[in-house]
Amino acid sequence: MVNFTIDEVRGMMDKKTNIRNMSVIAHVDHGKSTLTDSLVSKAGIIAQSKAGEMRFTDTRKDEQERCITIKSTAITMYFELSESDVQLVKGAEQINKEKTRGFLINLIDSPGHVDFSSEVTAALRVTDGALVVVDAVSGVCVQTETVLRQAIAERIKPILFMNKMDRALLELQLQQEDLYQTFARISESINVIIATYSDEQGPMGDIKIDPSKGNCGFGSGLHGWAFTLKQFAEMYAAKFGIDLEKLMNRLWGENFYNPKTKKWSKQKTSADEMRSFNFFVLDPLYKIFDAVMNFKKEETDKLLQKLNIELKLEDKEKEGKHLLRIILQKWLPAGEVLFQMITLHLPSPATAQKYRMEMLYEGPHDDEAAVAIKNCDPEGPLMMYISKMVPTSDKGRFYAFGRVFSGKVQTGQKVRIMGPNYVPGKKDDLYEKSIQRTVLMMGRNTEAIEDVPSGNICGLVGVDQFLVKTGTISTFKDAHNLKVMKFSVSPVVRVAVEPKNPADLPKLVEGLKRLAKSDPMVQCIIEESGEHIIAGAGELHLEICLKDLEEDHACIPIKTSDPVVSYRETVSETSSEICLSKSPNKHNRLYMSATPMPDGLAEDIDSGEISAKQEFKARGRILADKYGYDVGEARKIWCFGPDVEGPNILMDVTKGVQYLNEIKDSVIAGFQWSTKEGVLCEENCRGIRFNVHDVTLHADAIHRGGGQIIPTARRCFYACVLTAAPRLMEPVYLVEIQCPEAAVGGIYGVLNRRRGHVIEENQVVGTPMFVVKAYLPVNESFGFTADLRSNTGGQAFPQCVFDHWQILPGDPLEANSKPSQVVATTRKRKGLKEGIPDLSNYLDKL
Amino acid sequence: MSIALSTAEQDAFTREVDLSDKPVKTPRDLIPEVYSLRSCTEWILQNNFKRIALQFPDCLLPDSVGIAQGLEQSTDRKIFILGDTTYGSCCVDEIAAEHGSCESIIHFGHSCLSPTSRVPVALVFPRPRDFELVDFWQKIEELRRAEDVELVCLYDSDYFPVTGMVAQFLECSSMVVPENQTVLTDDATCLNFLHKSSDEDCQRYFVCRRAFSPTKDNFKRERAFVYIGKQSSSMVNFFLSLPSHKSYSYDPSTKLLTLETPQVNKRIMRRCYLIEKAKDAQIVGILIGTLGVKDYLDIIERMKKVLRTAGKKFYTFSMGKPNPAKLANFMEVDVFVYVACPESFFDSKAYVRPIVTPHEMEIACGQRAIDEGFVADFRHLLPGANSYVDIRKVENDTPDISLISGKARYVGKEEEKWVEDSSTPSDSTALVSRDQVLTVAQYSAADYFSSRSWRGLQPQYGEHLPADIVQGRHGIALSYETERSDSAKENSEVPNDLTCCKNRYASEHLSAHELDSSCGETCCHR
Repeated sequence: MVNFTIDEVRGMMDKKTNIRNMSVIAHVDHGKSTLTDSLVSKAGIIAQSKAGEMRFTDTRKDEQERCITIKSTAITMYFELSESDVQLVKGAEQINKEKTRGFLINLIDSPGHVDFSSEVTAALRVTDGALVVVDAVSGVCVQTETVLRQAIAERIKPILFMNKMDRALLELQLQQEDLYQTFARISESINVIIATYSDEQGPMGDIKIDPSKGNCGFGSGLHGWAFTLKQFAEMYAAKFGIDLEKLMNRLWGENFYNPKTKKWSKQKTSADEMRSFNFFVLDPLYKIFDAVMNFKKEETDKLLQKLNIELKLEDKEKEGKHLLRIILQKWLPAGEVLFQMITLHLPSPATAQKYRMEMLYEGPHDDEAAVAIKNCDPEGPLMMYISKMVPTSDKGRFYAFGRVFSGKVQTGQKVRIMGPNYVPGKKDDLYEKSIQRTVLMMGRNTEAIEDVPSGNICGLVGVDQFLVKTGTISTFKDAHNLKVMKFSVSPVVRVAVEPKNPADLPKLVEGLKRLAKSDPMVQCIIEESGEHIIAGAGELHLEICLKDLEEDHACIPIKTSDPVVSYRETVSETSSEICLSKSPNKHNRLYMSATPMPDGLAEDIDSGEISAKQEFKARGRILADKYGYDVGEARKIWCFGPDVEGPNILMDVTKGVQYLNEIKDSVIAGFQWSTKEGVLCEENCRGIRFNVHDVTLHADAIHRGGGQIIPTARRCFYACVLTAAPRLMEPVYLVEIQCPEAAVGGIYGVLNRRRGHVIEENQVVGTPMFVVKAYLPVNESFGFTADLRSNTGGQAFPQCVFDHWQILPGDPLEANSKPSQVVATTRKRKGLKEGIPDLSNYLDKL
Repeated sequence: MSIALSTAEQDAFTREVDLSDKPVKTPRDLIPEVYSLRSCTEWILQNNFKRIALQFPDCLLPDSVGIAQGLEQSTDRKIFILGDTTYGSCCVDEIAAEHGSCESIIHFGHSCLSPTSRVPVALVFPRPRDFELVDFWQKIEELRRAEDVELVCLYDSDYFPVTGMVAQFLECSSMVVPENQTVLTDDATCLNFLHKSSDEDCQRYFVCRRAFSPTKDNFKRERAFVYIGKQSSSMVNFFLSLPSHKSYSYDPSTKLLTLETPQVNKRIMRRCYLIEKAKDAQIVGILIGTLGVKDYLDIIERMKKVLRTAGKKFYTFSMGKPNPAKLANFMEVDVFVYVACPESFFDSKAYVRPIVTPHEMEIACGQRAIDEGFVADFRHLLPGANSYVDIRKVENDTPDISLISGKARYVGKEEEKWVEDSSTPSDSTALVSRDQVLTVAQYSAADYFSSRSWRGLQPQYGEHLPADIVQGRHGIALSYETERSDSAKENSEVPNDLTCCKNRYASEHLSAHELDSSCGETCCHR
């Protein structure tokens, strides 16, 4: 039975200090969903006996079948803290003045597979804290680092949970000291990541993980038991008569206890002295494990008595693992421990929004909306961020899922719906509609709720048509957008789809639109050739998208092409000459050249460090300092492209040219056009700097209009690329493979065959596992997982994440080179003329 | 300076002209036979036309003088030659004929068979030189052996004169004749064929302005189409109109019979993209590409209505022979809809903005379903035609996502997308608009201009005294009246043995760069 009512929840929503919004993040298969079950069962939503197996937050059928989380799922729960623990909650903004014991937890369980990292990003945006789960056996993995980094960038406070302790004890049979070392190492590596990406003096304060503070949990999600040092300290505090916090400090790190002399020390000097963590924490656990697993019935009973655990009659009959599980669940219930960690160590919205506002809000930081967000003010103007769309039972309709940062959102309220392209004062991407219903997301179910005040997470009905994936909802007329999320992965793998029956085309198009909505990152586009393309982060992501499209969104049989990757066109040298192109009326001449950008500049543009929106002097300064550009030139960047923010720049290096301003718009239009559809095979350009050296223009304005300049500029850009040793770039994955030592050889073989190369190979300390990191071209990655499994006897598990673009060696202009083949197939697929057009089409003579 | 300002006039005479087809020169004595002059004479005399215009595509112009002289001799009527048609040379140029007050037009060469409304028109198709019946017959027999289907023979209008011969050999195959057109031919077999097919009163099908009647015993058999002619837009139109049938093309110049599948035809795929692009468009340019095809005014009106219901803003452009440079002058237009005969439709990547057909635009505006098939001829969209649909109000609440930009998009009247002015205090006594639904200002060309970085010279109001009004240039851009003195001399040098309504070589290239460079011939209005 659910042990709280919706009314209770609604009551709690007003107490913004007693709310915790948190997400569970980790590497794939580290046990997030399983661990979440403990909390869900504590809330009474599922039976305790099923916790750990049910994976309540894996709501989809395929999630259950594949045992992998695909979509992030939110659930709202209500718990009460014990009187003594209430006193431990620190900070005025963390609990209300009346010290209400009740707390509202909005939890989002996120997927761990890299292909679904966009779901993690969407989850992080609406929460304030993150429970980082790490498998104690395999340690910190690549995805742990990625999601943790993202969390810190979003100013999400992390707490740590080391999972799968049961495996460490039962399977690996680690000794106490070894286990301690493992834990210490994991928390150490987590802290290294935190230190790298955050600042101790930053607004979040010190967010380091310290088991002695109680923000690090240990246990087993599967068996439903967990503890922090607080649990053990509480047991011993009375006995020793030491203050709880002091004792917790002593239970971790270089603290030793001599049971004979009952003395503490900082250094291990004699064999009698034992590490306090081992003696006080691990020893009792090991004793229970030993007694139960080796069927020492008497000893077990003695221990049970000591720990004050009463077993039910039917449980007493059980043996081995089952009994162990029941005993530990009784002794150290995971739900309770997690709940304490969350309430004590994660920030309330009232706390978090103070420092998150400046990261979230695009507008001035002192306007009405900004102030209301900062104060998490339910009376302020409504500001809500929609981070993803959750499908409803009604086909084609979605709940807009998001977080209310200020104000109150309620059923029937008229709101402004602002898409990601909304600019204040303009009418683009802006709709005003009323909200049909507000709902509470409860895992697989929803509960209707009248209104939701600031600091809470909820779903909206009736606004989904006006948003594609994300957006801002407000009642404030001058509100700016809340910042659009930045994903850590990009959609580099694409497939073309078509209906098996051509008459189903409209259904396919409709389905693609729904698919585009339901996934935070997938791109559904029609190419110029008319192909319907779905682009995703990786093979698994695409597989799920295609399955959803076929079964849920379009409901028609679909034909799928082989996956293809998108390439980029670039140049490797400066143009061999300054290229001249004449306008159709021959009265205007453009002189331009292309040159490759210095290493790192394209990436900086991608990350937004250098962007079109920057102030031109500041941007010029960065370009001059970091990339050695001439300051004067660097200030005269006309634009970025394609799509106004892409990684190519157009620079004006002319000196005193008449009418130049007049044709600027036309040249820019040509630049956007030609960087979007490059000359080689109409892929996007990347990393090219175009210089406008000189122009001669007709004196009469009518002869230098857009019609004359735009096509000419395009021809000239093409000529520049063709004379500058054009190259193709292909996307490259960073692959992390975990495997036992014996399989490493097989990995090398597979990687070599696929043009991959290993960059790092490490043994995971304390385990027989190896971690191999390698770069692998995305184009070669199709079927990589299966290939790897078959070559290593199923022992190696790769995680591929897009890392960078790399030049495909070879000259595309040279027949039979690898890039020229790529160009030829791409041109064929797009229905373009065979062969790269000749330079003479674009370059004119004086 | 003068060189920078304009090209020397002499250039017009020396410049190479791009011709898609090679010009032909028929020996004088063969002209009457090749061009069916006997029938032409009969037609003129029967109808008693006084002034007749002869229209030629560029490649037949070398023969034009011979034909005109021949007809003038045999009929003793006033004959005019029309070169350089304003739009496609496949369309009959009525306007040019009216300039010479002609009562009728004889159109020579390739034709799109579009009906006209003003002047009586006769079509003459010169006898093709490259068609070999034996070869064609062999290829067809091979095909017949391979597949048991009823063959329907389609052909490019250039190959009309051979149809009589073909019909004799392909007895069981159905043939296709132009629908409601006067075709003049001296060829007896062809004449026979024409009469025979129009006499038969069995059921007739119409495809791309060709009618065909299936022979009765073959009625239920599967049908396949064979197209005689080069790869051209007329062939593409045929096959797009018949997507569910097997289609073969026979190119007489290469003598190859190939199977054309819709997959091979990228155009049908590209349509998806074009329609999506048209859905995204906020501003549409209606590009008039014909002044001759019947009902063109009706379709323009219909386009306007359709665009209005879809909440798109539109401008109407009339320009002769669109090219990338001309259309690129209108960057504010997101997509052009081209109103012209089906064969002059063009789609090239050289254009900054895509161009769609009226049918595609109707799909994009939500009037039709995307899978409706292909309609090349805009006349089929008009009342009374088989593809006509009533313009309905588009459902306003349609949520939609653009599959090109990935952004939210609104199909339907913009009025629905509204923003309430919340600044109006509700309890004040001030006048309050009862109509809560306020229209959001539509995106228009003005918004485009306001987003440009260059908006012309600064006006510097009040810093200068108003200048006196002076007389500016007047006349047409080709030669302003102030420049009259030079060009008058030029005109007098044009050989005068034949009256030319519009001599390509004299006029077009003088004005070529002016036309190209922009609005000489374009007009725009809401």
